[in-house]
Amino acid sequence: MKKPILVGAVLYDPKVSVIWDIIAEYFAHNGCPIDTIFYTNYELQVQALLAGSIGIAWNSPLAWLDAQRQSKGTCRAIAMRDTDRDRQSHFIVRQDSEIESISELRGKTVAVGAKDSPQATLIPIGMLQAHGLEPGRDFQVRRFDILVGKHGDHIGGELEAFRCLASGEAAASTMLDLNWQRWTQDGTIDPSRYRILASTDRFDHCVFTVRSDFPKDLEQQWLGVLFSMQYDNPKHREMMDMEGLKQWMPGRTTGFGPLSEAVAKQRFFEQ
Amino acid sequence: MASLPLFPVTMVGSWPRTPALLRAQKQKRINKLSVDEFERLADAAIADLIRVQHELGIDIITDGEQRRDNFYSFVAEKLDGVRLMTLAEMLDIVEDKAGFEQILQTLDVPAYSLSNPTCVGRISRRRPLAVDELRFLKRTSDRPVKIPLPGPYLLTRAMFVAEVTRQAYPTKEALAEDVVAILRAEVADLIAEGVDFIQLDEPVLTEVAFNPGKTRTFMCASLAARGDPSEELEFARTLINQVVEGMSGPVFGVHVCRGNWSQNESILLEGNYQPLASCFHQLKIDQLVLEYATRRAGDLLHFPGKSLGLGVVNPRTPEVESVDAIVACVKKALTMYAPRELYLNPDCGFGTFSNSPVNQSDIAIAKMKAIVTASRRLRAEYEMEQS
Amino acid sequence: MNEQYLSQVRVLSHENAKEASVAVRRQCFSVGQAIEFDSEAPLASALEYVLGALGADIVTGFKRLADRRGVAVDEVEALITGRLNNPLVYLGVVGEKGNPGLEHVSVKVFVSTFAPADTIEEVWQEVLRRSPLVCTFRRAVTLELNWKAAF
Repeated sequence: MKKPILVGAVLYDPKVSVIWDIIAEYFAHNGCPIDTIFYTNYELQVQALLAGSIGIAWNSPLAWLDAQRQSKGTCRAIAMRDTDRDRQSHFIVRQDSEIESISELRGKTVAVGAKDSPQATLIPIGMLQAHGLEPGRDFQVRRFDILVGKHGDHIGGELEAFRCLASGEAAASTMLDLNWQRWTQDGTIDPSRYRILASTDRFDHCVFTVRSDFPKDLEQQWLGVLFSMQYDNPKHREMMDMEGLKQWMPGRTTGFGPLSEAVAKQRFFEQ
Repeated sequence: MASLPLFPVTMVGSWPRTPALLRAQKQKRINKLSVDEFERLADAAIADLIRVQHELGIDIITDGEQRRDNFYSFVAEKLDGVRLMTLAEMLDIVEDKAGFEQILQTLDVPAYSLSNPTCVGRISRRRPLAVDELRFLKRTSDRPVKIPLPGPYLLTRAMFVAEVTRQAYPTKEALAEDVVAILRAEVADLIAEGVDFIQLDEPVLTEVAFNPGKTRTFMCASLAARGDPSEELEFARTLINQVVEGMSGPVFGVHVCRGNWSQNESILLEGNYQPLASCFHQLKIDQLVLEYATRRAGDLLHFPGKSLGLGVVNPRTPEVESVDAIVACVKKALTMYAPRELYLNPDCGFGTFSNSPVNQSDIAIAKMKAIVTASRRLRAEYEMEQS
Repeated sequence: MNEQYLSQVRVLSHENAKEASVAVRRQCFSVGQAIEFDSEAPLASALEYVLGALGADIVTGFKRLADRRGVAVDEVEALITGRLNNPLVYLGVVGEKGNPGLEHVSVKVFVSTFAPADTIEEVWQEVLRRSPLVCTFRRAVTLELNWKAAF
């Protein structure tokens, strides 16, 4: 029996294990068995990746940066979902708000997600900093630390931040573009009462990460199976819908600029 | 309908049943009480309720759905090809059993106590659905009367239980054709008997819009497969318009709430009517009966060309809304609607499911009294302006 | 140990690692894995079987005892809810603490009857006293047991 490749993933809900079971079955069926090791937070997962306990880590963008930081930039980003590329975060305000630009958030309260959420906290605050606004000094941050350690997985804090805006306790809230899309369609957010004030630069999100010494042939074999998933194949579609993508893409690192700058400015890893 | 005063007050439908009537309903269900004996008890309960409505000064009278165990399952007693099945019986035959659990736990009732009218053969009207209710109302009150009917989309989704219905109808669309035909026949009969207001109940529409991932509805034990929300809403719109096509005489209303199965507000659906706006605009009816008395309802929306049955009190709370608060709610609506376009009612019924009413009669009476008082005050103000 | 008080079943594995077969007397039934997070899973999990067994013990016990005492009960239904200390430990999630076992089980029994409440309460107390699984669970977890009349 072939030894399985160990893939790490952070679990925010036991139901997510079902998706990984389906993925594992797919890989086994295609001659490249994997076993998923779950972690309660990304810090443990990055440690495990760098210690060699797992071969591949499904990393958040912040976990990617952490792995690079600790490995002196030697890890490889080998694959990601199409939906992980070119994301944006939005600053949301009330439709009747007098605020028309980012600069006008000076002196105001901005509701954000969990302290370690790239999309709902780090990158948006980074954008404010790029506009010369420092948290605490130039604007107040109201943070919603939901599932800290999980890097904003599963809307960590975004809905709470929006509710803070809705109740009038904040002038703006932050959220991922995909969440704005979903919530304005399903009635959670009334698009006639709220609008997007501004959006961050585009950034990339989760990525499968390996160490520099992960065997290339194993990597190619594994990627071969991953990329064989096709959305127009009815047998793959349900699985890919659960995974939240239409296509697996090669990993790239060009999209981590906004987060990288934000993390540096906010000294995230020094806290 | 005879000319109504401004801001006419009515109920949405149901009223809490007395313990005696609930007991009688159960006994009838297990054949320990005859239909005639039950009807006599129900007549007495309804006569009492009509007297209460008269004393309060309610303008459009209903019978509180006292003869029905809930707002839609009663059709099983009137239709051939439909069997009233408890959820306990359905758990035995349906594949997706977990789908029912949420309804049962949310309502905090056992599966044996919740019934669903299930299509088990070709359907046809054995008896009229509500003509007998209307006749009793007409005999007992000289005021305009309203008859609520389960809407065609609600009935289709509730009755289509694939595991048993497919022996008669291959798809829910096929079943819907006969549902529409039955409702049209019923509407025609009600019009002939002089009904003043027919309200089609379609609470499932909010569930389609706000719970797109769920197969099962909270409103009823429906098992029809989940479709794309926009397709489902289009389907619902088509059916409703088919029912009312060419019919005239009474006011036709469609009631869409966010669920009325529990006093726990946090588990009811939330979201304004925006996702349903396109559907509402295209309905060929006279009035939308909507809920606006809770924060969950979001902002008021305007639907030109239709009057609004404005929900001004929450039927589920023990606190009675103040007259001032109700007046304020109506005045907000008056920024979008003309006075003649507003009717006042609770957000929903007081006893949607007979065995788990959301309130007690004395509180329901107090709430209706507050609405009537508010209506009188507004009437005095706006009738002067209009004259 | 007195052999007449032994209860035994034989359990067999499958090629599908998520399924086991239980053979007892003339029955054979399938059980799924310990805990099931997949709402589409075809088999009841071992945990669900345990909760179902507790409920069946009470529901059959109640009906039987009511019948024998001539107390008219139309329906009895139980909702069993088990709370695990930490199901993530079952999944082997690194960094999680606690254990995957049950720590609290609540049993809510609905009874459809016109019999007086005190009569039903007497039947209820006797059922609990004589229930093998209630007595077992009581020693292992916090067990909450309630009944209510429901038509």
